[in-house]
Amino acid sequence: MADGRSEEHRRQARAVRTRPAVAARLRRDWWWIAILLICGGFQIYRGAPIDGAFFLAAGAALLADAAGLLSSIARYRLPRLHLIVQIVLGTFAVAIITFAPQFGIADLVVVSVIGATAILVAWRDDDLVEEPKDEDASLRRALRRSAILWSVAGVALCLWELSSFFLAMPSPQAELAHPPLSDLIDPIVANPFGRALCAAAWVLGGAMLLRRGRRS
Amino acid sequence: MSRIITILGFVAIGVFALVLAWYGHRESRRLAPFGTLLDRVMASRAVRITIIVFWWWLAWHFFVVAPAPAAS
Repeated sequence: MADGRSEEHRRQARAVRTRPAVAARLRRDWWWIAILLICGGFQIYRGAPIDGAFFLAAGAALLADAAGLLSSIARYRLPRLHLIVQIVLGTFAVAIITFAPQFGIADLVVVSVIGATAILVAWRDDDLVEEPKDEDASLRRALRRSAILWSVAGVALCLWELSSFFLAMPSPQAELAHPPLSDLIDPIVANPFGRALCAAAWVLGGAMLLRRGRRS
Repeated sequence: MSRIITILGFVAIGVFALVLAWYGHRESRRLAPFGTLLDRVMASRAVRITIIVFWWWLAWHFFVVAPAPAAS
């Protein structure tokens, strides 16, 4: 009886400790979770339910993480690959995307494997660069200015793409007059040389992004 | 004409991004370089996952899913 009461007491104490942490995480992350959920909803609306499911799943995973439900993932270590191995695998991926039949099963496998690996690596909090405690005020201002201006560029791109998408909806003539970005890039990707360049840029860009914010 | 305006809009946003990247590199005390900004924001798991999901989706969209045929 006493054990049951102390267990209940421990559970309540844990909940009291956890609730502010969950609220703090949600206050910090809600904007990014909302972006993923809105984007997932839009993908479903535009008739791409699989794309939508990926964005919604990512948003749901971040929500579950903010609630502390996925903390056990951090227990598992990821193997580290030597840089030479990463370069060989990246080159191999670019070659498959370039030379395999376009939109075939090989593309599906390569993009899925790279995506799943990248998500697993990005999820981990290993070797993160810590925010300096005594940061120069001018550097803080420069960072804030940069964040605002890059956000303006991103939002402008999204709004321009969205307006093109809706203006292109009524007919093929409207699509010709208001081409979304995909319509402009698809002919480049259809060409093997353009596809090789795009695949290389994608792989290198992903590798660069995964290194950002980490000491190693 | 509408097609040219639409394309010029995308080009203008691309040029704006290039100018930001160049100016951040040149005057880092006024505008933090894009890499420094990424280093700071990517410290958060939510930001990392959001950016990586968008990056991954680009390949899914352009390499895996065939474009829908234009409606007649």
